[in-house]
Amino acid sequence: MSIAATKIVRHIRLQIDDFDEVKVSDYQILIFLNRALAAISTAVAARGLDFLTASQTYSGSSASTGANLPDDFQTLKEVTDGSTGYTLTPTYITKTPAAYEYKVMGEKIYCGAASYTLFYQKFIGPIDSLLTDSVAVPGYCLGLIVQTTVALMQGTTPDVVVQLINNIINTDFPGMTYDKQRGRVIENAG
Amino acid sequence: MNVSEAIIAVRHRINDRDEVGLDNEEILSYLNSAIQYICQALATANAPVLVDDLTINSATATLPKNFIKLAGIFPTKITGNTIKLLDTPPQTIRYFTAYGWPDMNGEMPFEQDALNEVAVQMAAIYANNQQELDVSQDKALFGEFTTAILAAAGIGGNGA
Repeated sequence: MSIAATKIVRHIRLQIDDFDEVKVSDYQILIFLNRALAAISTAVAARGLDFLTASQTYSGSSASTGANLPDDFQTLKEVTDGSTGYTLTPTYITKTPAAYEYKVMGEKIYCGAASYTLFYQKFIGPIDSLLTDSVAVPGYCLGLIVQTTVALMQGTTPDVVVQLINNIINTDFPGMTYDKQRGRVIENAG
Repeated sequence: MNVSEAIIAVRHRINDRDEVGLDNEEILSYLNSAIQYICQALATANAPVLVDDLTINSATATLPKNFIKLAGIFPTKITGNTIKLLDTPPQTIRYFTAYGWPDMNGEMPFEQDALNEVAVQMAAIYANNQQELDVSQDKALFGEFTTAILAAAGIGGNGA
């Protein structure tokens, strides 16, 4: 489940009519593509869409020392106990978490459980190479990435870009998502 | 088209077939001026025919002599004739290049004869202007020809 950067660049150059690479360099595209991925990550995470959800399992209590959050951590969804699978409870920032509690402070997670799993919304990108890298998102995100990158390259203001991203999500993205609390697939809340 | 053919074409346009008005060296200088002008115009219109690329292997390098401008933005800083890389070398830049000046025995620089024809047309206007003839009608015609040629080549004047 990923889109090759070469494919994204091909679509961007088609959109701006510059296959000859005379108006815009690959360097420019790389810079704006990474900005677009950051903006998309934030917008998608805010809407709680499933495809950005990732997990990391920790073994050993980190109640006092803390354990590093994943490099692509963006927002927290849930922390579950490693042995029972039950959802753990967030606690006060000043308290050392008990066995059923956790807290996030700085770049670390502190949790009293012997083992636990962190579910989080990951951050997409940045990529380093337009030739070899790929973006780990579903194929239907291609239009969103292309349109957002082009909008940023054309100097579109951030508030308009956010609106654009939300509009494309409304039209391009599959409308159903799995709702954990209800235990069934529901329509995206938007 | 080689240069000697171009000079003959200019002579036809200025009615100087017998070489009594201008000598070949003077016409060649007009042709070269026209070629430089066309290169600038094509670069302004972002024409891909003028693009070249250059891989720079050191932190700073000297710009190529025929450099006009970069094709897009690259992580570089240009100061005078020096280009400095802002990222780690090697980096490849793409830039618009001006064609060199052909000599009397050389070839006209453009692969496309339509562009060589524009150069001939311009050189003829320069020549007539030098002889203090009225070139206003020639200029009007030339403007229309140039627009038509650029449009046929798919190159708009606004860089689109």
